[in-house]
Amino acid sequence: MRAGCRKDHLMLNQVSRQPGLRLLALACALSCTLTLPAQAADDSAALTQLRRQIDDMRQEYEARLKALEARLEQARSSSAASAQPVAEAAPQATPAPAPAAQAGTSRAGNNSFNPAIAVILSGTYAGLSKDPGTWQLSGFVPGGDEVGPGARGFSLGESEIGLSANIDSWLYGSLTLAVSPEDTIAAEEAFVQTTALPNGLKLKVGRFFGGQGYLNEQHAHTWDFVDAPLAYQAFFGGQYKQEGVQAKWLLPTDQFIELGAELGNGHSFPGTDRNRNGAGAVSLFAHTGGDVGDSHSWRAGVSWLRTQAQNRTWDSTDALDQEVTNAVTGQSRLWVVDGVWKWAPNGNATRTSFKLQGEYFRRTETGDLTYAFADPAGLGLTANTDGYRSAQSGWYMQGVYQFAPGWRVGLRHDQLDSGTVDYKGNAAKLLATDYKPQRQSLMLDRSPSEFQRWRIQLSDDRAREGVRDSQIFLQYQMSLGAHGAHSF
Amino acid sequence: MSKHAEQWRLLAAGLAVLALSGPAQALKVFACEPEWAALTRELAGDQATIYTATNALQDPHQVQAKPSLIAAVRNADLLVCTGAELEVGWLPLLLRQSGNGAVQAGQPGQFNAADYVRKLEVPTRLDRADGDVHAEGNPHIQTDPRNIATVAQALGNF
Repeated sequence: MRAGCRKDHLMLNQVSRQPGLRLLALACALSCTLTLPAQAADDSAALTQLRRQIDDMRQEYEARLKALEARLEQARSSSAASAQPVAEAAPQATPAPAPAAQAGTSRAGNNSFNPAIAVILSGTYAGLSKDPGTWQLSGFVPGGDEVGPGARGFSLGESEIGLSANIDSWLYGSLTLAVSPEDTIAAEEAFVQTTALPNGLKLKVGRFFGGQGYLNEQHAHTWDFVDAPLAYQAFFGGQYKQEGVQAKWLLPTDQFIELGAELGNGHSFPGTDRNRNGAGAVSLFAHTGGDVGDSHSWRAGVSWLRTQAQNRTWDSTDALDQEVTNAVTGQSRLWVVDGVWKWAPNGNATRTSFKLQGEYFRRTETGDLTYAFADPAGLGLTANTDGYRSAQSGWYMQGVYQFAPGWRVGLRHDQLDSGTVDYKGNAAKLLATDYKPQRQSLMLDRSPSEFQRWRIQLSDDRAREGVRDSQIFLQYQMSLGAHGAHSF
Repeated sequence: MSKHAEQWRLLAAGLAVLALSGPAQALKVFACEPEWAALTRELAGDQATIYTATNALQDPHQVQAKPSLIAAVRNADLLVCTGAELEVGWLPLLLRQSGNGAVQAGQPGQFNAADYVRKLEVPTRLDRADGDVHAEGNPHIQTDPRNIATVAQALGNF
């Protein structure tokens, strides 16, 4: 763009300079042709003829100059035609254009009234040393289908289609569709948000990523690694989607302090659909942040989420290694502490920058667990219900360093703690483990432009007790169309 | 009865005097770039407190929508920015996260300098194959000093 500015000025200069050069050449030529014949002969007839020739040439060049000027003017006016009318030379232009009439005539908005359309294309190659079908977080309740390293070999990642626009002067709406490799389309986010409430208040209704933690609100294509941290997979089943209403209040202080509350249906893991009218999920969170000098900025927060589950079922094997089905009915309380610190020399992250982020999760669950299995002797279903109580935690820490424009390298450590799981009366049948799943990941990515990213990631995954899975991922992510700004 | 009315009148007068004699509330201006902060300072003098979002060493295309900026937009009465998509990578996000209705696009609290000058290189063809194209034309209007005078006039009347 900056090169473009110079190009434009240069072009104008060349056009205006060329006639000047020609006149100079003409003057030289004329002085030569004038002096030589004058010395050779003083024939007046020849002189008048010469004068006529000179006049002809002058007229010709004047005509050419005029034509050039006309073309220049035409070029100027055509480039200005799509812009607004503006006083040419500003200093002496006293009748300045009326600003009231001009404000808002800019061509802001995307395709007139069409929403902004953003498309994300992504694909992955996964090389896994162990069968992903056996993947689990030992000691943790499985959090749905979206956990684990995914399928082996080439697979289409999640493609995203995002549509967003201001609805009117009070509301903003956004819809993000996720197209899975299995050809299903899901509404990842579909929400309406206020833009015109006073005093730093914002309301959001619909389906949206909850405000818990740091990474949860961000779409997968903005993650620094191919997959979500293990803590997100264990405690949110990937990412926590809230369906309900969110209120945020930004305090009128110089320091960024934001308080938020959410009420949701609580259908997402760790909650379930309970066929109730009330809210199944309640959440409160607070975030604060600021700068340290020009080069450092940070954000930290704490969140609390309470969800209800009714017959949240999963399959496992019991102490006698037989297939059993468990179902939990109860309450889940989750605390998240998150922090991110970013460094960019003088605030300019285009060349080098560094980002350090970490989050800590702690979840306690209380309720009843029903333990059921098909009796091998053919006596039908055997089931028993008893109390259930668990307290588990996990964290991750990652650092991403941009060492050259478009090149980044990152390291992440995941650690989970199975903590205490008390099966009460079922303890003889169900064995609790004190295994601590962990994983290390190293990634390198390259963005030749803002709109494409290529990534390689190596992971040493020890999520399964006694199993070490060496993983390699190759990934591309492409951004088409309107490219929404990324949050901090 | 008339005594009560007299008291009310006195109270009202007292309040009015208080309101007038109190320190005039300075206009809080959020300037996206230091150029506009300097210009606003020239025009408004001590009647405005100016927050400069970026410094001269930053690339205004690539600015993080960081917490300090969100807080500053939330408290601003007036935004003075370049516009023409120069700040497209961060300002829309700040606006959405600020919860400040007064400075949203199209509201009287938002001033975009590029709306008031003739923009060069308005593309007739929009294709990312041409690089990172600014659909509204070249936003680097600061490179022509005559533009600053035009913007100053517009901002003064704003």
